[in-house]
Amino acid sequence: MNITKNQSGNVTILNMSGRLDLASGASLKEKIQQEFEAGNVRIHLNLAKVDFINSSGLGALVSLMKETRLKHGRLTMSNLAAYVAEIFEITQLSHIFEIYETEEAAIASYNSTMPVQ
Amino acid sequence: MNRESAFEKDYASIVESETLMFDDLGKFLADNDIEGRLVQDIKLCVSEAFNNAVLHGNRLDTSKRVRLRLSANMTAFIADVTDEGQSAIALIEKRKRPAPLDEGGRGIDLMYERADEVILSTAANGGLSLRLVFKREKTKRNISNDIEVSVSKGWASKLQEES
Repeated sequence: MNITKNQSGNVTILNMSGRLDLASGASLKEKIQQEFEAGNVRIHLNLAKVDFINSSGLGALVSLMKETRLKHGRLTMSNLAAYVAEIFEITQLSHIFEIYETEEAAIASYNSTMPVQ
Repeated sequence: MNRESAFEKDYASIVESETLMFDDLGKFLADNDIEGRLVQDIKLCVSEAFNNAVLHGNRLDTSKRVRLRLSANMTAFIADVTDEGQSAIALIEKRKRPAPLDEGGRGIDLMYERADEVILSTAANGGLSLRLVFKREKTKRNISNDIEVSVSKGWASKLQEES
């Protein structure tokens, strides 16, 4: 999995590509830990180029969401491919995560809402 | 004629084996002309079984191996994943669905959701053997895709007629 980073205001955007599985889930957790250490707790994941996710990848995302909340930050996602979105639906995690159709909509939500406490 | 193709390999019980497994599985599926939605479901379920074997069966013990056997013919694709741990079929069958914020425990449910058959047994070595069966004929999964496609096509042609 490749992860590239850019910034929109005080939201850190991570663009991911490839598989989100056991190994890459661990890499993602490391990458976001670095962001936490730098004080960035408003994280957006653009999953447009993620073509596969399994329960290990989902577990990594759940872990990150919990940690983000503990730090009074937010973790949002957007641009889920159809099959990836389906896996979120099957596991009912679509009701737990903040998932937006587009990156623009996700970023706009940061500007219009208070961080999740 | 219904020729069967098969692949078998042992993997180390380390996280990095997942990538090797994906490479081998992808090649096998391509060589056997297994395409589309079925490929995604197979990759999902085999990865779940494989990771369970590495993490929970063999507990990342590098002296233990995970055996993957793949076979395919014109009617079905079968994956057998066997670990060298202590088979705990009763525990798996009695498991509860994970709570929303649990980090693990979703793999077995995904397998039951996506594979046509999931068969658990105790291997000769005492480990867990998990068989995943996928039918290549039209299943509920594929039929629902076809319906979606035909509805979309219907709308597309209607719009074309109107323009």
